[in-house]
Amino acid sequence: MALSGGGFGRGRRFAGVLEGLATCAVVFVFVGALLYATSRPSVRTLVDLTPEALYTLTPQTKQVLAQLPQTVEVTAVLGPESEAFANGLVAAQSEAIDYLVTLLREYELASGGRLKLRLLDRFADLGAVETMRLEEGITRSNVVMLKAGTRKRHVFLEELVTINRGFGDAGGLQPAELVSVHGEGPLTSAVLSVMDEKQPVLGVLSGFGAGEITDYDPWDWGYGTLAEAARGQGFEVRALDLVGGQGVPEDVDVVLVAGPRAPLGADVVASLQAHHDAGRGLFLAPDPRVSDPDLDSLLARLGVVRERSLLMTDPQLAQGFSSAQERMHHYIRRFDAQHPISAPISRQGVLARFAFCSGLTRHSGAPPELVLHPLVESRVEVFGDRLGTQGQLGDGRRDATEQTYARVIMVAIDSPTRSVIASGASFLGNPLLGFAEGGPANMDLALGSINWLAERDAALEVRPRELFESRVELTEFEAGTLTLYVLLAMPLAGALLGLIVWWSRRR
Amino acid sequence: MKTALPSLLWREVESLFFAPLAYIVLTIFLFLSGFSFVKALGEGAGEVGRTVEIFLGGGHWFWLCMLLLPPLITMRLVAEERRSGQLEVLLTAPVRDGEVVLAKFLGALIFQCFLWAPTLLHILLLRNYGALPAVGQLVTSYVGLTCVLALLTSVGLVFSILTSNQIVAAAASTTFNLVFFALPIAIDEIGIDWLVSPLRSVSMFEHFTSGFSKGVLDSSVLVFYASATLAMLVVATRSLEARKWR
Repeated sequence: MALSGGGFGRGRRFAGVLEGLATCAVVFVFVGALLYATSRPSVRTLVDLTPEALYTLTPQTKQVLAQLPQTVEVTAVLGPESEAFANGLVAAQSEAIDYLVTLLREYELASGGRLKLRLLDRFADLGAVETMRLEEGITRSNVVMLKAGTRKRHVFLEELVTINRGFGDAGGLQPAELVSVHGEGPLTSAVLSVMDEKQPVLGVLSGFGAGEITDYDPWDWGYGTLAEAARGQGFEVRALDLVGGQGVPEDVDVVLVAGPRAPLGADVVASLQAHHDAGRGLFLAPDPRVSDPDLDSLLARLGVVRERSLLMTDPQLAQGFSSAQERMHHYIRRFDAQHPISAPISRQGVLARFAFCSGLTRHSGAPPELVLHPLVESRVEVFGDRLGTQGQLGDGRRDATEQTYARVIMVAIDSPTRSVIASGASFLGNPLLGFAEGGPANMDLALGSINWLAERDAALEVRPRELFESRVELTEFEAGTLTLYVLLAMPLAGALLGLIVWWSRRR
Repeated sequence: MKTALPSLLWREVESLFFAPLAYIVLTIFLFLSGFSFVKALGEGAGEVGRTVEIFLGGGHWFWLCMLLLPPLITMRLVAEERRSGQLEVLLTAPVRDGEVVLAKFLGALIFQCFLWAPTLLHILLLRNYGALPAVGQLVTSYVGLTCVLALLTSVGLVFSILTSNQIVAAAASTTFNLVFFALPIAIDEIGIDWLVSPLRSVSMFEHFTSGFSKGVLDSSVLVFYASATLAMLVVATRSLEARKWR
């Protein structure tokens, strides 16, 4: 009996342990399955309780995402500056990145899994980021790359949020802050653009001594950097040879004429005019040192006249810039805050860098209904140093006839057909285009212009969400009172409560 | 059958709230959370949203309290009763093991919510100085806080049942919490790609920094905490039942 009883006891114990283990296993499998099921984008939901409803998508965006005809791969390469700026720029960037990550997750959920999100840390995922750079042409970090089939588009953090970097004030470094977030418009537009069947084409006029799109040397005035960035935006970039009278191919959406060092001639200008008359975009950035009557007549038809001079900072007003070469370089902080090309740059409080440019004015014969949008304006301390008849540089000094005032150096015209005219091409060249965030805003100006000319500006207007950040400024007395309250009064209240409980229980 | 849960729960609450140790813990906790708040206010540079974000989810002190407090509260829940022999009495009473576990879990959770409740006063105090904390952010932060506390309390309860030594229970529970907290961060840092995504989905830190602290509730995260807590309670119940087979 004792033996059989002992055997029964061990058996029961064993069965009990087995049952317990099996229950635990079933429970954990159930939890795992439940987690997997609820993490599926089709069933997962986010409840947005932020005051500005930062992560709540508009019905239009939800509709676009719900009806995606094919998978969109979204890769974000993110990370704040590695340098710890004293003005809190890193904190503002981190906040912006947090916003973007949550917004992208909301896109992923709203797409029901058709939008696949991949997040890369620019520091931690160096290998993957390098692969992206080589294979996808990513030229800088803090970028979101959208890809659907062969179509792709890069959207930069600066297009999605407004960070006042605090660099744009001549008075010195100002505190950086995240001013507003407006990621939905550009992101949804980018989703729509990678869904387009036709790939937009950017044609860059070759020959005439201008830089080539195959020239990537950072010290040369070539346009390889620009071409690579435009490819990142989903453009097919093509060199255009218009010599011989052949017109611009019909599939070219935008023609860029950047810094020809010789006159284009009547035939080429006629081709450009025909392209523009056909309702397609024209981006003219002639070299001010080159006299070209045919090009000037095209500019006149567009309503613009260029000044026959090179802009220089007045030596009397220049601070620290002494040589004429240095005074030909201009750090621009005056942008049109309304126009779609320059508004994102204006909001960021950053600089653009131009060199070898002149002033642009309205042509006297331009029809009154023509509107010129002055995208970029120089500082007021510049004068136009008159060029020689053969384009020779002036003496670098301001004479009595050379006036000092702010010049318009880039304009946009949207009617009847879109065109952008810059008074020089150097800002598009490899040396000034710059990749790094914190560098000049030239890349934003260039890509913004090309996208606008291809009519790829925000297809969806979504109101930017201004961030309301409640702040508290405590005086020394208030800070002391607050510290006393939380460090002394509240713990003492806890201790007192304990004493009362103890005393009442004791009785 | 009438449930014994209310009376068991009252017994737990009474033992937690009427013990002098509870108020010593409360006093120390309030001091630490006050210190954490002052620090967060400094780091947030006066921005109320940022301050709340650091205070509830982004700061070291927050996680120190979150990871250490539940083991200290739960270590004595069963281990102490087992040592004093009261557990045998309780288990021979006409109550279900599940009710005992649930009562202990709820008692400990209520007590911890009582400890954390004054931290809301810290934030609301800022209103006196003209600041307007975002209600949504506060709601989601405290929902997140309760979720994490529930999970860690259930973990602590399991360890308290598994051992009769309070110190061992606290140490084991703390170790589990630290590993559970740090592992996803470490894997993320090391960059083991195939592990990053699944571990990120169970990372408490990630849940706070990308959701709760920002004013966003994610249904999958809430399901994770609810189901994981439930799973640990089932394990705790089975562990308690297993005593009968010894």
